[in-house]
Amino acid sequence: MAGGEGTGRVVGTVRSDASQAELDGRFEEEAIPLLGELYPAALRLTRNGPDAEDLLQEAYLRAYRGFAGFEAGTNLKAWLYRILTNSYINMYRKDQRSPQTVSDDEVDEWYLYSKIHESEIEPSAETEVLDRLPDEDVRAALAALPDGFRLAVILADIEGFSYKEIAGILDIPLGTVMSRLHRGRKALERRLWDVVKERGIIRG
Amino acid sequence: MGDLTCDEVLQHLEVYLDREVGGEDARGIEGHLAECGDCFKRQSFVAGLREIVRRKCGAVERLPEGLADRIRRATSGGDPTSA
Repeated sequence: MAGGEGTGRVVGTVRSDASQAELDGRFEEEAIPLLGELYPAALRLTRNGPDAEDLLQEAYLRAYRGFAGFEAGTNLKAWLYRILTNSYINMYRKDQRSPQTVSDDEVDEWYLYSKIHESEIEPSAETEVLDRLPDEDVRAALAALPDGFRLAVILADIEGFSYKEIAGILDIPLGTVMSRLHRGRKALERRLWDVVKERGIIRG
Repeated sequence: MGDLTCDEVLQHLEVYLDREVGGEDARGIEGHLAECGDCFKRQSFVAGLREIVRRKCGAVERLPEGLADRIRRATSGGDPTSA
């Protein structure tokens, strides 16, 4: 029974050939097509191409090994994101369970809104001012957030996951998702204001 | 349900915009936003800002050439130890 493994180390549990072939087929049909969506996500996590490729490969290898444990009919994309995020945390030793903090004075509720409001911009053009920021500046501001907060903001505001899904992906309680998201967004707003001033879009 | 104060609305605005506020509460907030210019302006600002962040940070870079094949080889049908 266990004689047909061939060379190499056994990966995961030994399954019958039929179910392994079936799993391989499903992995090819369902998980591989999501690579195109997972790569930009990997890139956002690592912030550079070579690391993103390594991360994606590692995550897919883990997903493949654990695919028998994926419950068919549930959200495969969220499952893969979870593996991707956990692989990122492991590979880069970012302990997102105890993230660096965002200081309390970065969490001023209406900081950016008030600053822009005070600067005599026409109300209709208030977000337009932010839209004039180069993409790279906004990306850099997001990239500079402490990791725990950055991951929450990415998962919610860019990847579009719900609180519950983010809690599952990061393996943290719902309340923690909400507070990280809140603090992360507020810290991002503060940094965006700094960039608006630096770029001379508004004289601060 | 209709009589929410501005403070209550603004306090829940973020969660509301995340579509995590349910039925009746969401309708209460919507009702307030329809009548209160200041809260509506703030809501538009936050929603606009989110949209800008999503658009500017959410670029969909294409999968690098050969990566899908490499991953395919490392998983289904391939020898996982050779990756």
